[in-house]
Parts: sequence; C-alpha cells; structure tokens
Amino acid sequence: MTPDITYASIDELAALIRNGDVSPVEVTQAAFQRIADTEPKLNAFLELFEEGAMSEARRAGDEIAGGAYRGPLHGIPIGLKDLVDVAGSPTTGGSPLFQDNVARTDATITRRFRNAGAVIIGKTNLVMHAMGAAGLNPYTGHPRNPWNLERCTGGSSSGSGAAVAAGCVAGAIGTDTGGSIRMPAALCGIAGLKPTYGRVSRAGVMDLSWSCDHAGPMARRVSDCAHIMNAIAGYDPRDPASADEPAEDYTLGLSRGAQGLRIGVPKDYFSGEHVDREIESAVRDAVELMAGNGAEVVELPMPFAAHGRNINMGIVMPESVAVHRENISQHPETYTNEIRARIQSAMTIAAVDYIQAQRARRWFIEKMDHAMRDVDVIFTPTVPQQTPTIEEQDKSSMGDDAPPQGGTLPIFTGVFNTTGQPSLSVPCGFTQDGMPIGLMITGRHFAEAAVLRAGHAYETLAGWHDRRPPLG
Amino acid sequence: MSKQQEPRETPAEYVISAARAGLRISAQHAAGIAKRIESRRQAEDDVRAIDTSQHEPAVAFRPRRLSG
Repeated sequence: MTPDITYASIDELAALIRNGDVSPVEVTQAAFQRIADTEPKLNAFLELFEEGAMSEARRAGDEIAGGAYRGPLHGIPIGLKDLVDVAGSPTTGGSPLFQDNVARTDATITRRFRNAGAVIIGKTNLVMHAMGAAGLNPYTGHPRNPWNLERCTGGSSSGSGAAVAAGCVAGAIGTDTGGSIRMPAALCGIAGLKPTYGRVSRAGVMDLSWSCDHAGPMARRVSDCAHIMNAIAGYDPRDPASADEPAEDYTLGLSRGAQGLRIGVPKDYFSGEHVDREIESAVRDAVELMAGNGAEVVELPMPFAAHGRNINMGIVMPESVAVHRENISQHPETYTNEIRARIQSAMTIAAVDYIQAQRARRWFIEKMDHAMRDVDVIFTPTVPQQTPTIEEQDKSSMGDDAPPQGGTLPIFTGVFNTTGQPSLSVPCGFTQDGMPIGLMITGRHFAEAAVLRAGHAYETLAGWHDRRPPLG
Repeated sequence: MSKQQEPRETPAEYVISAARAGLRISAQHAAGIAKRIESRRQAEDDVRAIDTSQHEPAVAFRPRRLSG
C-alpha cells in the first residue's frame, strides 16, 4: 500500500523513493491527484505538464532502479512560478500580453532541477507581472489561501505558496523583488527563502527589477528549502548579476540547533504600533524559545531601517518602468488598472532620483553590515498586518487611485531586497482566526547556511510546520 | 535649496506631457496617476534626504575576462 505522501518532506519522500517503498511515478500521480482535488478551490496552477512530468517520473524510476540515484530531489515533484522558462511552454507572467511567449530554452533554474532529477509538475499562478503583495490576479483568477479560501495568499508568488501549503508539490520556485517569496510563505504557513542577490541565477526568469529581483525556494520545511538550494544555487555566466561564489551544501549545518546562535532583535522599525499585536507576540515568543534553547539574543539599534523600503521602491519602480515602457505604451489594456497606474506614475521618477536611491542603497548596506557585525541572524516579523480578505483587496485594487494591493504587507520584506541579504520566512504561530504568522530570519550576505540553520532549529523546536490547512 | 525643494514636474504637467507624447492615459486614469505621484514623492523625499556624498551607486559594472 502506498503511504500517505501528501505532506511528506523531501527527506521523507527521498527515503521512500530510494528504498523502493514508493516510486517517482506514484509520487507524481499522487501530486496530480492532489492538484485535481484542490485546484477547483485554490487556483494555484496556470499550466500542468502531465505528460512530460509522468515521462520524467518514469525516467527517474528507471535511473534509480539502475543504480543512478542523483540525490534527494530525484523523482520529487516541483512547481515553477510562471515567470520561469520551461522550453516549449509559454512563460506568461500572469498577463494576457505573454500568452504566446513560448520559451525556447529552459531557465537555468529549470535546467538545474532537471539535472537533479526533479519532476517539473507545472507552472504556478502569480500576480500579473509579479507586481503586487496581496497575491491577486483578476486575469488568471485569484489564487486562494488553503487556510481560509476567503483570504489572500500573499504575493506575488501566490500560486507557489498555495500549492506548497496544500500539499500539491514538495517545493516550488518563487521570485522576490520586495517580498514576493516571503509574504506568501508567511500568509500560507510555509517556509520561503530569498537567497543573497546573485546566489541563484535569474537567467530565463522574467524581469521586474534587475537589481532587486531574486529567485528562491518555497517548501513546507526549512530542510526542503536547503535541498532545493543545493540544486539551484551557484554561479551562472548567463546571469550578469550571478555571484562567482563557491557552491555549498546547505544541508550540512542544518542540525546544529539553537545553541550558540547569535540572534539580533531590532529595536526600531520592525516593532511597535504599526505591527499587529498577535504577530508581534508570536515573534517575541519565537525569540524566547530560541533563547531558552541556548541562543544568545541581543537587541540591535537600527534607526536607519525605516529608509529601507523607500530605497527599495526608489529602485524597483524606475527599473520596472524600463522593463514595461514599450508594452505599456502599446498595450495598456493588457495591464490591470492598478498596475498600469503604478507604472505610468513611476514614469515621472527622475534619473537623478534613481541614482540617489542606488547611492542610498550602498549607504544602507553599510549601516546594516555594521549593525549585524556581532550577530548571525536577525529575527523580525515577515509582515506587520494580518492576512487581508480577497474581497477587501479586490475592491481596493479596482480603482485607478487605489493604494497598491497588499497595504503594508511588504514594508519589512522590502528592506532586504535593498540589501540583497538572505532572508527566510518560517511559520511561528497562528492568529486567533486561524491564519499563519511568519517569522523572518535574515542573515549576512552569502550566509544562507546560518539562516537555514536558525530556521530549522526554530521549526524543530516549535513544530508549527506539522499543522495542515483544513482543505480535506 | 534643499534636495527636496528642487523643482519637479507636477503630476498634472506630467499627465499632460505624457498624453501629448502619445501615452494612452484616460481622464479617469489621470486622476489616479496624479494621486500616486504625490504619495510616492514622500518616499522619494525620504531617500533624497539621505547623505550619500561618500557613496557610489550600488549598480556595479563588472567587466569579465574573455576566454580563449
């Protein structure tokens, strides 16, 4: 009898596959069955590769049976946000503009997943052009949060968040320009890592803002994120921003626990009146749990942090104008009112203000490096507000003068797109009305291993990842 | 004159010049765009106020050696 693998971790699935207790074909069939059961409620996928995925699964099974085991992702189902190229399939960016934008080659991420033997299940839903924090997309249909179908998933990697949280795939790729991996991870109750800028290749990933775009893993466990990082991280000459840093095994230090970990807790900006009290309390409890298990906790003054999101937007908006300028002039009707107004209004940003934002970014990174000189990671909330309903966000994003969707959701995450530091969201509790709360763990540049270690230590102590959404 | 006081195109001026340049902006959209420009300029002013006199832009030009 096939064991229940819907919510299994990559480690658990890999052990079952390697021992021959379950085959990659059975795992892939189970994934498609789970998608068939949940998709009418969630709308997490834009395209499914049933034929190709089953073929990949059969090949994985044959290779493993023949003794050619490639590693923990061999035969494991993975989803890709529909900004990531898969040769022969359209990369739509969630927009009518790109319905026929068929990729000629695989993105580097896709190719690396294939090299690791992963099974590419399909493309996940997203906010149009990845421009929105709540996760909505009126064109493709709004993805829905598995914990409460009336609530937003967070965005822009909304389908990836919903698909992973619902047990449709073991992991998925998201992209993050102001928080688009970490916000849906927080709102959907999963783990999501924005790696250091340049650590994971963006080649073959649709652009939004060249100097703030990151791609990274979303999964139910921190250890799953580490396995995915092992497959996708590393230098890529196809990406001009790729960091020529040696690849690491991100699973090696995972089990070192909380003992001796130096955790900084910012005194400014990430707490106070603008943070929901339940969220602030859950993050404080997480810090105390780590301190009670041997972590050293220090308060950090960070008065400069309040500038971080403004610098982030001062860079993202003019770069996104450059990306969309021609299309929005020629095909404005293909954009939502909200996104069109955001891009068109950003056309007024002066070149000197963009340069000032890039200079301020270097100033900001120096301040952050100095503040973090004596700690390994900092703990903050991922988002400051509770999960909005789809109805309220949908109404507010209809008008041309509406605020950007998502309200204050990205004000903390965007800080670390300015710095390019590795930043992870892990579940740290639930609100009284049953919605997940996210803890954001951020480390020094290229210190993904420390971030993942801290996340794994907390996750193991707290156990929130064992809860499952009430989807049936 | 402080950086925040430097003259900038007003939202109305922008919408008019953008429309003259062929950007398709309806009257309905124009009001929304103007409102967004106003709110975004508060963030711009915050960034303008940062002393960056000792900092180059964080956009790196990295020449790479040709192989062969």
